[in-house]
Amino acid sequence: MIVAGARALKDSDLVLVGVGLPQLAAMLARKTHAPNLRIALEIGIIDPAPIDTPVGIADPRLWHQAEFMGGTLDVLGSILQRGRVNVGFLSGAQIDQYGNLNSSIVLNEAGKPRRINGSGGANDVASLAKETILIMRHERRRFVPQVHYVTSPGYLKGYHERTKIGLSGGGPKMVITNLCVFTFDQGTERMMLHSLHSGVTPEEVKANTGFQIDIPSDLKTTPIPTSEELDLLREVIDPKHVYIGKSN
Amino acid sequence: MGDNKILPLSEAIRKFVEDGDTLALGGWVITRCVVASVHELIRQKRKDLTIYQALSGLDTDLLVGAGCVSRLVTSGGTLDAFGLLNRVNDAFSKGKLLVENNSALGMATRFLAGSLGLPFLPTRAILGSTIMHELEEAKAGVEMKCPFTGENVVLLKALNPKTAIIHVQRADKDGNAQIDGPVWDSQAMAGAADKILLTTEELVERAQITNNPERTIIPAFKVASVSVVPFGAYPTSCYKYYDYDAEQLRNYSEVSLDADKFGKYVEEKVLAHEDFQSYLDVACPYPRREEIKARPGRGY
Repeated sequence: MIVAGARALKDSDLVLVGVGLPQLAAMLARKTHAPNLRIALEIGIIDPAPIDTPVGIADPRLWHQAEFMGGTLDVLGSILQRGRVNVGFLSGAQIDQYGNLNSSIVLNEAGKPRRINGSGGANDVASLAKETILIMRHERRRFVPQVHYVTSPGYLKGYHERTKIGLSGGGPKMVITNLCVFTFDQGTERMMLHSLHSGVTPEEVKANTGFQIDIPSDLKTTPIPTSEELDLLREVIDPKHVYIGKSN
Repeated sequence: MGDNKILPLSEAIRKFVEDGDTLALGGWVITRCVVASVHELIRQKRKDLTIYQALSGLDTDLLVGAGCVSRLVTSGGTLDAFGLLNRVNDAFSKGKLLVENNSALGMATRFLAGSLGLPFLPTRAILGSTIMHELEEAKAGVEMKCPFTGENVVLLKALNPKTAIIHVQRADKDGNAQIDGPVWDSQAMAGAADKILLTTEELVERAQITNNPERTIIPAFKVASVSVVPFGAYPTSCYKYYDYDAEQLRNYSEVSLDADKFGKYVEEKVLAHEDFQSYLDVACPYPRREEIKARPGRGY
């Protein structure tokens, strides 16, 4: 997942990342094909160069050697809302077929609402980044027909509703999971299967998705990570293996 | 020149925070959290507080768990990899805590509006989300068409907390404060508040402020009290001074999953101590403080 995310980033991009897989993908991209990639964090940091694995955005390890330390408004305002973030990486507890994410309130089996972490900058990134890449663990309970709570808007109810509402950011471009990669149909704005990771079957994807998935005739295989990419992740970027090694 | 506002933290809280107040807390998740102040609020049994905090963290979870808070205005929060805000989430599930959801930019914008003396400021975020519905219901957000460009924006109602409690790295006795590292929304929060209570790692001479006045993040004129509390953010980090204490955070996270265990934690770590120093002497004895101190080359 990390490698697929990294490859989706371009050298000239400015990416806003949260901790975990998005951060690792950005660092990997910087060390491989996108050395000029700029990274911004919602806590008020631009272009850090961490040398130790951080536990989150609030970990000073993630701020190490940053070129700029300011405030939330400097990043989420002057950079993100100003329209300068090319790519925002997002995740969530749940995703629906139009790429809307829920990281706020889930319903348990009895239908009772349970809070999780909330939006933080996620809603802002989903609303305002030129495009977003969504990274999700592929489980049926996570891939639902319609999220109970829209924390981070994707295409809302599809069919260009996002454009009608007037969100200035472009919306999700792809969804990367541990099984496959999805893109979005231009007309319906529904998620559609783009490539399967090596060794994964379409049946496995369907079984782990709580809504209808059509199998395209030109279904691709996601290119596999190179040994250089894997070494960089294991030795340099996540030396404590906090995030990798969990089927990433 | 300059007043002397130095007070023991217990006196500052006693004098300046009452039940039912709106309080902005200056921490972010597990960094520069106002832990010492929260311990004191719990000891003094403050009730019915409304807390404003963009990214809620350990300080808020403790305060909510101890039953001091009735309303939380936030964009969410966690303990990062150490876990969720279990006490906040539990209080919400049980209907004991009203939570008003925002986005991080939304919270920063509301503080900015408050700090500029404006009734609202717009944002382009939040449109179309469930957060929009909630803000409308709370009468804190309204959709509008821009009169100049016709674009859709959301007007966000200003936040003006009665008091902001912020932990800083250095302050003089008048309350001019320097903050190291990222400030997230501390500046706008201080600007929006009617008054500010500071806890500081170090007390510095006025000359250190006047020799570097551009480093003053919070000017003194609204600061009501300055309490010198080294390690006042412990077990969260304070940039350039000390790391978070991973072991303590792991322990807290585990304990906070269970109401009884949390109750015992509060008994032992907060109520059993007359001040924060006494808690630190047990929870973080001198050798441990040396271990977590920030030093060049450590990567934090």
